[in-house]
Amino acid sequence: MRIFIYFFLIIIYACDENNSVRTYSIPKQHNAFKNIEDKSEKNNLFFSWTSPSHWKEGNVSPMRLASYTIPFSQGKADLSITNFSGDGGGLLANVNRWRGQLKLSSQTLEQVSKNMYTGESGLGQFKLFKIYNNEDHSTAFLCGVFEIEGSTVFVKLSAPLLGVNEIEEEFKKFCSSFKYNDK
Amino acid sequence: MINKNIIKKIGSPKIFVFTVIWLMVLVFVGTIVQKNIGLYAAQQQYFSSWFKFLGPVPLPSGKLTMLIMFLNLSCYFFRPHIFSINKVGITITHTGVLMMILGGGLTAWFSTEGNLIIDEGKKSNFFESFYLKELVVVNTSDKDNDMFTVFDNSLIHKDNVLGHETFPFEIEIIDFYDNCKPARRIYAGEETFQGMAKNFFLQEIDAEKEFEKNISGIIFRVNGVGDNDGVYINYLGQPITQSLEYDNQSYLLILRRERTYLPFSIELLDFKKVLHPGTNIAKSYSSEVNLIENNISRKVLIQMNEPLRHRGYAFYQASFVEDGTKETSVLATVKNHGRLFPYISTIIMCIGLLFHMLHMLSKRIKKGENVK
Repeated sequence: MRIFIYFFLIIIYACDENNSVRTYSIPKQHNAFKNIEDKSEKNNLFFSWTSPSHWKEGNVSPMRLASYTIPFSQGKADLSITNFSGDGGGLLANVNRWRGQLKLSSQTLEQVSKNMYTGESGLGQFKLFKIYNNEDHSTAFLCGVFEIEGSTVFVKLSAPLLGVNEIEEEFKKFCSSFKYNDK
Repeated sequence: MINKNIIKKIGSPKIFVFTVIWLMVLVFVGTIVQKNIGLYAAQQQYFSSWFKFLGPVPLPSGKLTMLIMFLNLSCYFFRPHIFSINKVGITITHTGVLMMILGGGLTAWFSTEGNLIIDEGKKSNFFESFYLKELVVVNTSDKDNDMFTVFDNSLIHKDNVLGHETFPFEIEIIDFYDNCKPARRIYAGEETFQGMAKNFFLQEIDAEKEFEKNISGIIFRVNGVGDNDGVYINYLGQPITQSLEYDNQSYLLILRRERTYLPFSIELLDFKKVLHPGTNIAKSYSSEVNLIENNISRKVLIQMNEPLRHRGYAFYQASFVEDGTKETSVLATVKNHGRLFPYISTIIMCIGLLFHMLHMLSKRIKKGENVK
């Protein structure tokens, strides 16, 4: 009887296989993960975009899928593309955070919606926000928000208001160029 | 002598009756609460755990009840004369019931299930668990191979410290959330934050009833990599992988659904969806796949109610995703080592009961003849 009980306890203990560390090595070509240092990052995404030839590709960072430096008459603007799962924190929260960065007060969803433009792209409709402070033209933002299946893509241009005005049309075209990758 | 008494007590039919009644209670309560807490949570709390705490009182849960029932029925085999003609039918029936419980145990401990998700034209050789997660450290320094160190779900909990000889640092888990969402920091994070944690934090939210929809997240501190020491965050579906470098070695840190690798690959050739006429509601969908094993491939059609069974794995057409022009097939995948036990044990039980019934019948008939 005692042997039977011991045997049973050993079986129960041995059965708990979900308590371990496993190691394995696989060839690189099977690695589906996106490494931020990998310059071919964009190829791993299920969407892509087309940038004007004079936009200079900048460094990626832990948060950015891509960056561009865009020249305008009095300097250079910075553009970033980020992608977050879900709603990325929410449209209202993000717009108010951008407004906060320009020392503007928060708005309600209704007010935000009034100042919003929409455009069409291969990813579907995107929302466009031009945010600037009338009392300080040193920094202004143009932000495109794409709500796609399960995640949100943010495209943000940061420049003095003059630069934002100059690049605005190009930015809209750039946002319209977003599309799903072919199979 | 003592052993006989113990066997008599543990093998008491009263215990069996109580365990059966208790199982009925568990099934009833588990079914009712499932509506509010979801299927997975109900399964975990009422059937897959050892105890269910009612306030501070621990009550036996499904696992413990089944263990007691198994021990109770096992004691029958320590009784004398169990292979006599009078008892052999009951012995066979007991064997059948024990096999059924054993099969249940095998299924509970060893079966794996999840989703195999393949884009049209692509192939895959793993499926991902519906519920379990794993933390992975990938050493990407080698030009040909990536070295994976995988920590199972049970090791991912608050205050646990993870380490392995394959990497030179320690991972101290600060917190783990079943469901969370990344939120941007209003103010820049402390200097100790690294990677995405510099600008984001994880906000714990209530778990979804459908557990597989939860976005699990982990906050952990990495120690032992010099300037890269600090707090990192990982969550399911994180768009950009967190990485660190130390001593000319590059590492990726990933939280993902637990993966089970298959000894073969499946390539999705074509996904077809048939709609009900005049609607957008799917009537049926099917996946034409290539089953590739040892560089030899064969075409198989997986349809609703017509799964592919291969090497103990079953692939069911479960769902699909249409994203723009891209079609993706979702195959629910199950490997169940105890799959045949219910069939075999039911047959054994039937044989046992039939044998016992026929024996009793013949005894009655003989008794009746003697009375005449």
